[in-house]
Amino acid sequence: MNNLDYYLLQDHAARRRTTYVGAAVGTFLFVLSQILALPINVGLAICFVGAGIVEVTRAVSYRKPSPKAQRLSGAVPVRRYFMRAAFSTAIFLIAIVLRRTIYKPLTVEAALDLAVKEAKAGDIEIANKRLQDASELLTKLKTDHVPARSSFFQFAVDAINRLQPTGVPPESIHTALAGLAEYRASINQRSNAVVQIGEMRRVGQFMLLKDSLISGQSAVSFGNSGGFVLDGFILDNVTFQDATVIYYGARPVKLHHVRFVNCPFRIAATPNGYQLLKAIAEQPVVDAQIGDIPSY
Amino acid sequence: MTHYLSADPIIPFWTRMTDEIPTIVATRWRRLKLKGFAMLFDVGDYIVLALGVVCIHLVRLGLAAVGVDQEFITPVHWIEIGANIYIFSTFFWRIIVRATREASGHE
Repeated sequence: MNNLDYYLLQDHAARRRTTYVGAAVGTFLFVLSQILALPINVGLAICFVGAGIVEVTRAVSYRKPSPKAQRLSGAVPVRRYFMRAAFSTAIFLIAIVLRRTIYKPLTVEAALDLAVKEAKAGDIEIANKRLQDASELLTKLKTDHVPARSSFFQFAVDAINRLQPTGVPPESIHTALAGLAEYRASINQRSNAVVQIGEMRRVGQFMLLKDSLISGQSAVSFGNSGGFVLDGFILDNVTFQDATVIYYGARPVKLHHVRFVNCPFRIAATPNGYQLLKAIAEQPVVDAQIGDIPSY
Repeated sequence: MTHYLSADPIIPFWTRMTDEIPTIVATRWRRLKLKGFAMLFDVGDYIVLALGVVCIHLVRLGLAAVGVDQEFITPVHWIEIGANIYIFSTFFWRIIVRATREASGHE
């Protein structure tokens, strides 16, 4: 039996040593590549190629021990070894099942909580998936008009806030926040008031709309927008019901005592849009000012 | 005198059997058994190391759950990814080495 055959077929301890030492070195190289801020794919490639070099070099350069040393090495403790492998397999499977069971998000709170934890642990991809789970659950809640407490919205907004600086894609955060705002609007009480414009006048460069109700999808459409565009409006005691609410985030807007009932939102993913969505998601009756607005 | 299993009237058939075929079979069986054991050992090592990666993963989740700063958790995440990729790569390359050895053919 030549050296390579002996290494591949009989010297289990040598192969194991190679794996363990190589794993330590490979892991160190990967961590080093990340400390040096190399792209993750480069780190993975270094690890993979490094493993190849270690394995092939070791297999080719291996020299089997002398017959005396072979005799001294004694028999491989097969039974003990396989017991250890079987035990590891069992623990491995139990860990996987437990993780899948424990971390299966069934509620929006659980999904958001997991998203925050995963993002904090550095797994942005999984955090993003959990956030998308939360968005899907919110859509279902909105469709079913499932009632929720204010604390739920506060928790959800806080969680989404915590996700913002972690590197989770902004569009996912925006989608989740929009879903939350729409859900809140979908469970607000419907108004029995008739459609009306109480007061509407110009205040400098802004338009003041006061004591009004905008109800129905086709009630208001600014140009071809298909909804009520909030940019440049001062809204005081206004209720939007079943009306599409649009905000491009280009101009300031002020909302005082504004209610949104079952409204679809088309709000731009800008810092201003984020502030508005946050306010709508947080408050049943919205008081918010985005940008500089003159007093009226 | 003729043995009941032999066409030869004098020598019983087992005394005329060459040991060529049984030797080849025995050698191949012995080699196959060695290969099987070696593969089992490699798979076992892979499982043990994969369990180590799972432990690192659980440590990472635990650190996140108790509120440790992300800057301390990220290196643990790197170790987890590095170890995971390395042990898989090792397993893969060893199969390649074995396959190359088999393809070369000579004993």
